[in-house]
Amino acid sequence: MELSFLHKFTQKPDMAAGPAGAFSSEAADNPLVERFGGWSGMLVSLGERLQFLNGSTEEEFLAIGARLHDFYARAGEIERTSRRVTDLILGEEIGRDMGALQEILDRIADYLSHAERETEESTRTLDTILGFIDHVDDSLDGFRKIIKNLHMLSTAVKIESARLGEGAAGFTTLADDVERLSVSIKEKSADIIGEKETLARMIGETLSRVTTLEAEQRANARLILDRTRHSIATLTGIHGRCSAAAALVSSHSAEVAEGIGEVVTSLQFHDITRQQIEHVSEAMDELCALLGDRSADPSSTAAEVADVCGLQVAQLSHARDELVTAVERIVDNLRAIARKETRMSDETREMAGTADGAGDSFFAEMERDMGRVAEVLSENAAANHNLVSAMGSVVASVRDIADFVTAIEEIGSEIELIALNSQVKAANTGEGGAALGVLAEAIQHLSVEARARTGAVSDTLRKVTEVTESLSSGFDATAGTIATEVNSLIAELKGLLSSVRGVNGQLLSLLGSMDGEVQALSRDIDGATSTVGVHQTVAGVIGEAIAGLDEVVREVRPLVPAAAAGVQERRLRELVERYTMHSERKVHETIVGRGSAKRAGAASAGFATPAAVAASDDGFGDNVELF
Amino acid sequence: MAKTIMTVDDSASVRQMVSFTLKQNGYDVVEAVDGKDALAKLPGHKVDMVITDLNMPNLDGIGLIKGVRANPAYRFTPIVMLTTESQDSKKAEGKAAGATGWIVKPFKPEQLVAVVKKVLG
Repeated sequence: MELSFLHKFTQKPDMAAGPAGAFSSEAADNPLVERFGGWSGMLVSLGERLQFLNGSTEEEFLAIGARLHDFYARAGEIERTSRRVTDLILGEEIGRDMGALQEILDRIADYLSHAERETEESTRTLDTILGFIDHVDDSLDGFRKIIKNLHMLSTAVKIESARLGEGAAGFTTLADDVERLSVSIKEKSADIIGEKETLARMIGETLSRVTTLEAEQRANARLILDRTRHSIATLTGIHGRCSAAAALVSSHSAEVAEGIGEVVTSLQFHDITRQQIEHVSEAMDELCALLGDRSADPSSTAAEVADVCGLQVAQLSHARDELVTAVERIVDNLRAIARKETRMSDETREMAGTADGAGDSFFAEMERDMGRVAEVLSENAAANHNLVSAMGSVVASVRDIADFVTAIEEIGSEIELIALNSQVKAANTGEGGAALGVLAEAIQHLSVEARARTGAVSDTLRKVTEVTESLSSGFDATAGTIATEVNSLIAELKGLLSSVRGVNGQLLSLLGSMDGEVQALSRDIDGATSTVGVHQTVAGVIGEAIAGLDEVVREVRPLVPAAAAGVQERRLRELVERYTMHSERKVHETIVGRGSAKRAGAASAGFATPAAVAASDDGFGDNVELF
Repeated sequence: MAKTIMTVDDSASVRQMVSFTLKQNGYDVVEAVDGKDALAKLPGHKVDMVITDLNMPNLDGIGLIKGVRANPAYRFTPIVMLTTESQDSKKAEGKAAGATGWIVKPFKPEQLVAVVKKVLG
């Protein structure tokens, strides 16, 4: 665009064109006059190109100015979004959630300590039960001996009964009864052993489950507590960062406002440069008129042309430098605004706990942690329920064993009756039944032993029953409390999760919106600044004008080194009067000399130097004066 | 209710920056391209302040001040010159015509806003 625009200014001036009027024959013979046409043509051409430049560059400034409205409004919206993010994190809702989280943390710690103690207690109880059950084996060994003896006694009674013949007929029935008792005890013992083994296995499994549960509980407890503490510490950190971020956003806002202010100031340089170029053009027009003045002295005219052209070179250089610097400031400041907005967005995101642009936030992590806490508590409640159920099975199994023991006790009584009956029968049999009397006595001893054995088994199983039922009833009593406590914790966690999820949703929405706004703004600023080429155009045209004026000066100087002092002073005074800007006068002073400018300035109107203006400064700045 | 400020300048880019600065700070703005245009637009608006350039075609800033002051409704309305001109003689001329203040271009937005606040009370 710039290059196609520039071609409008690249037409070469016609150095051969002559001034409109004709010189006297004497003047026309002067070799200087021959050059006047070329110089005049050059000045006219350069003047036209500078005028065209003045009238054709404002559109680009206006276009930037129009975008500035948009950029400023969008930067303001981004700042407001950033503040909303900060306000959201610093808001009441998060503060309330933090408090609730801290409270739940304490309650979870209490609950887990309680659960841990219960587990230890359960383990100890089950170990005790297992020890009792082992003792049952000793008692059951005794039953095996009783069974063997009963079997032998039954056989012996049968033999003795057969030897005695008719006189001991009733002993055959007695032998059968003894044998039946032996079988019955054997069966009941087998049942007890079977049930005992089932019970031992059940308790072993329950113990294993309790031990595993205990380990898991401890591990989960550490995990939960560590993570929750970490979450709270992170949230506390975020709160701290948010407080700092509020100041940061204000600082960014001030920087952006400063950048916009710089752009506003710089955009005025189109008007300033336009006026400077107009003053140069007017000076060049006057030189053209002078070159066409047939009554003027050619040497004096040539010297004046060189002096004024040299001065205009300086004025144009200054105007070009000012405008190029202003446009560069515009571009630099707009790009800096885009960078600042991006940085503010990044810092806001970081402050909110999001390390990357993946849309994840600290609150999402906290939500997951809370979910894990609820999950672990649910698992714990389920494990407790299973333990209670297992203890119920243990109790039922112990009751079954107790029933078998009762049956054996009944057998013991029966043995006793049989023994008594056999003793009576042996006594009735007389001397021949003496052997049977010995057997009856042996049966009697067995009945005593059986009673002792069943008593031992009975005692052991009663202890097992008592301990088991005590544990079971403890579990039954606490199971309800635990379930209520866990349900309450889970309900509160769910409420907290819902709140955190809501904040997280708002946060992500704001951050996403801010990201989009910042990216769009950066893209648009980049697009707007990348096409700015007005300064290059201006620099190109002014550069050519400077080259043309320099060429004129180079041609004049070897022919006419300097103008007469009086003429030079008059001309320079006229130029000073045309200046409106302090910078133009400064350039003039630099080129012509301070003394000359002061004389010229004093002869015309006074002008305020910065120092003079500063003296009347009323706080608004050097360039402002209120009357 | 927002106060209305008239900006008078033959440079569209300067009018644009004055408007931008004032609108960002809550003022309503009326634009005029020169003194003549300003005087023509003045009766249609209740203008609380005028910010004008000095050198303009048709009617310059000094002429505009005189024209505004001739209207009894605007005799005490603040008029601030915003110009590249920095000569004391010109300032004196503006002051004599009835200007309230003088700002040499380029202005910084905060300067303009401070001056506006000051003169509008």
